[in-house]
Amino acid sequence: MERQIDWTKTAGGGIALAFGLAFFAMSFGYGIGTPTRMEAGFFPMLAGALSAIAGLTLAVSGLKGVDSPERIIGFSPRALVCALLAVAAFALLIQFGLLMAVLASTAISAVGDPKNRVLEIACLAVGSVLLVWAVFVLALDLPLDMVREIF
Amino acid sequence: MEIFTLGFSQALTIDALYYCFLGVLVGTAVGVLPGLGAIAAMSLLFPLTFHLEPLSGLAMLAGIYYGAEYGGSTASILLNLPGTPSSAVTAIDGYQLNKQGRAGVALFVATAASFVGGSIGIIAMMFLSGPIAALGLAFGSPEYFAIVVFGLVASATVGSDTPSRGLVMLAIGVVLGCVGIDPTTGATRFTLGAVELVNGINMVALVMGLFGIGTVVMSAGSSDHAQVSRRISLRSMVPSGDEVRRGILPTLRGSIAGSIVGVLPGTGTTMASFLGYGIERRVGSSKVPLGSGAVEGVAAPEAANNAASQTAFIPTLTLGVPGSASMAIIFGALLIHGITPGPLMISQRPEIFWGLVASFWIGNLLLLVLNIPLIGVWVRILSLPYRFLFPVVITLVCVGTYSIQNSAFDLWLALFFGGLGVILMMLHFQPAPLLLGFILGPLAEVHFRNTMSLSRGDILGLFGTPVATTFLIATLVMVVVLMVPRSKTASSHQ
Repeated sequence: MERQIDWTKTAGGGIALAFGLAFFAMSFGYGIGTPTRMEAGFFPMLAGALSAIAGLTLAVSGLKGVDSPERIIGFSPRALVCALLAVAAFALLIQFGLLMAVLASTAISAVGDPKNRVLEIACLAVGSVLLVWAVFVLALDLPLDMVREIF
Repeated sequence: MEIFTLGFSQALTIDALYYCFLGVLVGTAVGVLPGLGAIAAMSLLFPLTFHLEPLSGLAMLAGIYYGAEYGGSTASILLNLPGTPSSAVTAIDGYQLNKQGRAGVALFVATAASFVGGSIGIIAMMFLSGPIAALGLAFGSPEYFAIVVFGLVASATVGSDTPSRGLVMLAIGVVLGCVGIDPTTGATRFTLGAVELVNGINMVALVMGLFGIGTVVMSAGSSDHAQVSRRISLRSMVPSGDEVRRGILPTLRGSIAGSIVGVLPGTGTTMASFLGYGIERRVGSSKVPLGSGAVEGVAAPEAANNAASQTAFIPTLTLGVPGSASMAIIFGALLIHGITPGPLMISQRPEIFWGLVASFWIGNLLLLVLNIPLIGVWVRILSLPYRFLFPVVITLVCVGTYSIQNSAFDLWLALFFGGLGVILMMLHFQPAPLLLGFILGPLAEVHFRNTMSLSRGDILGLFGTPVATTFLIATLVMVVVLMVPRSKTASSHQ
């Protein structure tokens, strides 16, 4: 069987390699010390090195090729983008209170599925507000404002 | 025994009862729904535990965890679509029974076997925790380091078809765990100037991002629920006397197998259910062959996975070493309340420990009582379109994450980990080992430091005691055994 590059291993290993090298390099800034008297950077240095080595090994094994490489698991990019935008919207709007933030995050993430129609999205958004209010504000008595004036 | 004096008095308070009930209800619902796992639900409700009494929050999270084991079999039996990975085996005989018009019986057997399995697991927990904790008290840093390393590597590699990927995720998790104040020296590490990172990456943000956002996005658009047309009546659930008799031994066998497997780190409820089924196939003498709709094939795995879900608490609570991502969340919830799981927990916080055990009893009983009449409700839940759940879940992730510290920074963290999680998951990397590395990495560091300073820098100090050596060698053996065949058969395998 023909050997093909397994890009998932290579990419994933590459991420680990990048993280590992970054932390490895940064850990020297905190002092290494000796094994007997470790300074703050010792363990992170080891951890970073471990991550880099593991990542490199995986990436190389991916490049060497396997017979049936894993294919990237399909997911809906639209769902991802909408989910991330929804969280961002919440983060930006929460200063105005829960109401706007919840409406925005629910509506934006609902757009993530093309089958959702405008009316359904609106109902979901309103429903979310009620749910959040009932659970977090009423039942759990959390110090969250539905509407916050910041003028 | 303290369970009766302390435990039940704590667990039978209105507060604790309510949240235990909520937990098992949510857990079963989530277990029923394919695509939304116990971990996602535990992650979503994890921030809530911050605002609750420790026992209530823990009882709730635990309820979700073992409740999901009950619910997972429902979709397996009715739709041949497992609601949780550990229910995949139940689908084999369960769905066959369904096709024979005996879905009610299958559901009943699954529920009853789950109850027996859970009960045996709790009994194991009650009797084994004391001795194991006593053992743990005798442990020092070398032993702890070795056990933590073993647990981490086991949970990252065992039962996974790509152990190397698990190790990579573990390493990333350990690295991320280094962010924040170093407890020994007080130096702030890797904060990149962000004052919000001084206390480290917020665990809730990480969990919400990886499991709340990450897994939910990956499931989006993938499930359009099949319609469950059959109505299940209460009467149809009663099994025949013969079936009851045939189900007893498999249930007991599964419970014991599951109890043992659950204690070991790295082996989860999924492995327990496969083991239970496998044992049944080898040892069981069934009139109806397994695979063609034998109640034995439903009873054994269901008993096993529920037993395993209970005994998984043993190492988590008595040794402070969680063996799976779900246990890591429970572990995290304990830490948030200032309770350090470990050998001292039973003696220092007996009300929490025994209160939890009591809540397990209550929860398992609730599940037995609830699941039988509520089958119709669960069946209807299965027809809820995922596209409605998804936005609500994302919003709950946001509110939950924000509610911990009223910090928008935590939201950005969750966003980052959500994106990172999706990228890694689409590359076939599982998020669970990352969480374990993140939570246990700092623990490993402390014990590593102590060991090395005790041995004056001699690396062989790690092998200083027999227990430590055993676990470290076991770890090495595990890694070698799992990795070597892969490279040897790489030409014919993957």
